[in-house]
Formats: sequence, C-alpha cells, structure tokens
Amino acid sequence: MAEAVIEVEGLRKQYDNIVAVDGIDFSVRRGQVFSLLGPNGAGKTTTVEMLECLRPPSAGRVSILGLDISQGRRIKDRIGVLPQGFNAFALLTVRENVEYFAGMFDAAVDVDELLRWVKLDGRQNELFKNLSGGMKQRVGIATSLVNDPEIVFLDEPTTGLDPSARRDVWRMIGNLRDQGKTVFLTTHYMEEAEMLSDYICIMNHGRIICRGTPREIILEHGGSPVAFVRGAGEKGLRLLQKAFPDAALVEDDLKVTVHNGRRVSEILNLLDAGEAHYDEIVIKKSTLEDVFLRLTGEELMKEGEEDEE
Amino acid sequence: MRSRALVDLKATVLEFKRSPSAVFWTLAFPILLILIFGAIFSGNGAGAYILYVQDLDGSPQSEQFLEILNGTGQVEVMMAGADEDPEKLISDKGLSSFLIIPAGFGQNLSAGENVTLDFRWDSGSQVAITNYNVVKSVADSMNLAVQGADERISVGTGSIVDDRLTFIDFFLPGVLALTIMYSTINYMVLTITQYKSQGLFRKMMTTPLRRSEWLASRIIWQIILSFISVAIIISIGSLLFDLNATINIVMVLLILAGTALFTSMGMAIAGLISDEERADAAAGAVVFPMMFLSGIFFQVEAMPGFLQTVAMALPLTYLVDGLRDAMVYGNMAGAVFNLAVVTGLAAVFAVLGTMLTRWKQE
Ligand SMILES: Nc1ncnc2c1ncn2[C@@H]1O[C@H](COP(=O)(O)OP(=O)(O)OP(=O)(O)O)[C@@H](O)[C@H]1O
Ligand SMILES: [Mg+2]
Repeated sequence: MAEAVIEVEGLRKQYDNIVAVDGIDFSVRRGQVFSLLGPNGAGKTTTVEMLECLRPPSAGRVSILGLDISQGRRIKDRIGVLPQGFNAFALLTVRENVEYFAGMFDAAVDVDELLRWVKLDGRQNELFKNLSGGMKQRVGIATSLVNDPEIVFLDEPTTGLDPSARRDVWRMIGNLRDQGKTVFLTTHYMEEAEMLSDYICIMNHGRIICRGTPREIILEHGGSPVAFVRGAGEKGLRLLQKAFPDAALVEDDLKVTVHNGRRVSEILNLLDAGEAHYDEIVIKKSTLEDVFLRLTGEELMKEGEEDEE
Repeated sequence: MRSRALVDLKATVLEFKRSPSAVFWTLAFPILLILIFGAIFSGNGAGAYILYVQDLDGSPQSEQFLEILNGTGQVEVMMAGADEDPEKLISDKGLSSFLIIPAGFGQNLSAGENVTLDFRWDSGSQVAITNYNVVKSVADSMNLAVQGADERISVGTGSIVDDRLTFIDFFLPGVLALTIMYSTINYMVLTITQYKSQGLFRKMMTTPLRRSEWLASRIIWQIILSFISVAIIISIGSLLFDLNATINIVMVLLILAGTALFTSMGMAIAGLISDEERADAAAGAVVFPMMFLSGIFFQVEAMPGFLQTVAMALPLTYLVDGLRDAMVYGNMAGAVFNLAVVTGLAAVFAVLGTMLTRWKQE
C-alpha cells in the first residue's frame, strides 16, 4: 500500500457556539482519489481548509506530506487548491490569470501546456468575467496545478455546472489520478463520488458517519436490490406472495425486494410456472445516493427522538 | 520579496486599464473638476463674509465710511484695534482680506485731496474678491457724493500673498489632494472587499504570496496612480489656465505621505466592514465630508464656527493646506508642519489598516 500523504487525528474546529468539525480521523494514501461527502454545513470546507493551512484547528493533529501544518509555507509549495466558489481576477484573461498564480511559485509548470491540458488554449485571451461557469472552473483547476502539486484539493469543483461541463471535470480528475497525483475531493454529488473515488468519508454535523470504498459502503449500508416486474398485475402478486411476503403491487407493477440469499431467477421461475404475463423486469440496486440519504436521514430522525426526550 | 509583488503589480495595472470606472474616477474626474470650477469660480461669489478693518484715522469721515460699509449688509465688519499689527492678525486668524483706513483719511478728504484705502488681500480667495468688490463699491458711492465726481477715494490693494496668483493656483492643490484622497480610498475599499467576497484572498493564501508583498504592490500602485493624476492635473492647469504653482520636494513628499495615509485608511475601512455594499457606503461617508469640508471648494474661513472645528479634525484639510503652502504660498514652514501631520496620521492608519486587513479566516 502506498504511503499516507494526509494524516488526520482528532481534528476539531469550534466557532463561538458551534462545533463545525467534531473530532475526525482519517488518512489519505498517495495516488488516491479521496472524497469527503456531506450535506450543506457538514463541515467539509472547514476540514479541507484546515488541511490547506488556511484555518487553524482548535484541536487535533494534521500532517500533510509528512509535514505538520504549522509548516504552512513548505506545504503550500507542494499542494494545489481550488477553493469552494472559486473566482479569478475578473478583468484578466484566462492566460493572465494562470500566469499570475504561476508567478507566485518558484517552480512553475509550462503555462501553454497547462492551458492545453484544461482545453482552454483556444480561449486563453478571453477575460475571465466573460467565461461560462464550466470554463471558469477549468481556469480554477489550471490555477491549482501551476506548481505541479503532489496533492490537489478540489472543494466542490462541479457545483453549478451543466452535465457536460461536469463530465469535463470528471475526466480531468481521472487524468490527475493517472498522473499519480493524490486528489482530495469534496462534493454533494454521490454519483460523482461513486464513480471517481477510491475511498470515501461521509460527514454529517462535523463527524464522519461512514467510510470505505464506494463498494464497501454500498454493501454495508445499502439496502437489498429491488426488482420491478412491470405489468405483472394481480396474477403475478398471487404467484409470488408465498415466496416473497413483502411483494407489493404498485398500480399494475410488482415491487419485490430481493433479500440476502434470494435470487432474481426465483421470481422469474415462479412467474413462468404460473404462466403470468409481464412486460419487463428492472432490477434496482442501492446507490451511494440511497445510502447517503438513508444515513443522513436516520441521523435526522435520531435527533428528532433525542429532542422529544 | 522576490518578484511576487511585481507579478501582482502587473495584474493590478492590467485590471485598472480595463476598468472604465476606475479610469474615469482617477483620471477623468479631476480634469472635469478643474475645467468646471476653473470656469465658474474665476468670477466672484456672493454672501456676507467677515472683513477685518483697522481704522487708523478715527475721523467722522472714516466713521461714515464704515457705517455705509456695514449698511450694505454684504460684509460683516470686525474692528481691529489701532495698535494691532495687521501682518500678525492676518497670519494668526488666517485672513484672506484686511482693510486699513489710513491716518489722515478724513483730513485729506476735507481738504479736497485724493485718498487711498489700503486693502490687503489674497486675490486667489473668493472671499477676498467679494470683500474687495464691496469695499470698492462703497468707495465709489462716496465718490459720487463728493462734488467733482473725481475718483477721490480709491482702493489700493496690497496682496497678502504673491501678486501673480490666480484662482486656479488656489484651487488646483485642492483638486490634487481630493483626487489622491478619494481615488485611493475607493480603490482600496473596492479591491479588498471584492477580493474577499470573490474568494481571491483565500486563493492567494494558498500560494506563497505574503500579505506584505501584496500590500507593497498595492501601495506602489497607488503612488504611481497619484503621480499620474498629479501630472495630468498640473498639465491641464498650465495649458488652459494661468497656473503659477510651483513643484518642489515638499509637495512630492506630501503626495507620498497623503497616498500612504489614504491607502491605509481604505484598508482600515475594508478591514472593519467586509460586506461590499456597506463598505462602499462607509467609504462614501468618509470621502464626502472630507471632500466638502477640507477647504477645497469652500474656504474653511467662510464656514460656520462648528464646521471649522470639524474641518480641523479632517486629515484631508492638512494635505490641502500643505500642498497650498508648498505650491502656492511658498510657505515652507507651514508646508513642513502639514507634512508632519499627514505623515503622523499615515503612520497611525498604516498600523491600524495592516492590523485590520486579515487574510486568514478564523
Ligand atoms: N468562519 C466561521 N464562523 C462561524 N461558523 C462557521 C464559519 N465557517 C463555517 N462555519 C460553520 O461551520 C459549519 C460547517 O461549515 P462548512 O462550510 O465547513 O460546511 P460544508 O460542509 O463545506 O457545507 P457546504 O456544502 O454548504 O459547502 C456550518 O454550520 C457553518 O455555518
Ligand atoms: Mg463547503
């Protein structure tokens, strides 16, 4: 296993009367795409900005590339950061903006090559303020790569982008991973995290409520797959009821949960044996989104109960 | 420092060039001011101003003259004792005009001889011009009353400042100070609040750029901008109007100190108030009173007493006075005093501004 490039222990951040980050631990290995997920206000940005040496923690230990975060200047040379809601200089062109940030580092990459990589070489002389959201975000990603960083922090890089612009960002994150860079991603989009991440932590109310690879998380917390038998009707229900007691009819479609140890082929066999008619069978597996909604939802319910006590 | 401050400076110049509003307010607006006020104020004003009069004669004729002068309602006569030194009074009270009725005024008049009133003034001051016109018209009316209709009483003027001075000489240093003040404050407040709200400071913090390097770049830029405005304003003044103001080292130092002062003030305002709109309003609340109460458009001397007190508390007043002393009156002692005040204030605000301009979030 590759070495840990980020190590976090007991990290806490308290504001006057709220605890934004409430004692979290995790580590990120070199070359991983690591995602921090969570609803609004979960504490994602507070966490990343502590790792980026932008905000001092209230307690806990953070080490980035083997350096303690008190050594901010040495760390900054080796990481790249795209802050949440990034804006560049409105009245500078794409190229001038990238050159500005490249000019801040002693060792910077070739700006032309970088612009080609983010596919902005054709628009390099346009003013930043005239760009579309997707292109602005590409400028942001370019500015976070000017120093050829070992770790790239991207705080909600796809928020507010259209599906195609979002896919562009995904492709770039994939490329970064192929180059061996470590990517620390925060996002609200489960689909994105499921597809891109090697490892995921889900945060809520400043705590990590669940962690693992996307597969592990779905296996552990996802519900059983559900089969929808379209057009099977009353007859289908009668045939299945005995073997699958929780089968239910929704209009003319059957909804059957395939619990652990059961197989979808059993459903087909029963229907065929009874010569029931149906249009199609759709199997829906749990996604990370289902898990996320369930876990954060459960927390909400728990809180409700606590409040009632 | 490496060249990071220069990288930032280059970006600042480019942003400035592409911002029509920044260019207008720093470069075009002062030109408009000079053109408009240069044209308007070359005439005379209205209203009753205070006029100090020293009656060295004490004859019925001189008393009659004073009575008529008072009766016009256009000046408010203040009597100076016969034993007082006019020069001292003028400088102590910062007067722009002073009338002396010479000894022998009544006697000579009765003897049918010509007499001359001694009117000392700063011909660049609108107050002095108005007072002069009132004195002159009173003298003329007495002339008419005297038989012979000759110009028996004339008003001789003696300048209390350099004779060659015109209105524009008096007005131009004020415009310089004003331009430095508002363009610097506005520009600092605008950039700092915008960079904050757009997250640019946060992004800059993730690079090795230091806050001190960024501040150095800003201050260098504001100084360059101040000198560009000064050069433009002085060129216009000398091309279109009869400008006699001089350029000297104290004036240059005043411009440097003034730029530092208002840059720091802008930083302090933006440091105290992060919200863009509110910071803009706060900047206005600082800029406008200074604009109108620092003796640029209206002389401090012509203001009601309490406003004069306010004016003395405004930093811009000292920059205006200093620039006038240095460029117009050739009063180097006064200029250096004002320079010291502006520099002192700049130091105070620099400390305040730097303390308040935080990059780091809590
Ligand atoms: N400077 C601050 N002062 C006080 N409270 C803060 C500050 N910054 C963040 N918080 C609070 O800390 C909590 C976590 O905020 P944070 O921005 O880290 O959430 P997030 O997970 O990034 O949310 P989002 O998805 O909306 O970006 C929120 O309740 C927020 O209001
Ligand atoms: Mg956030």
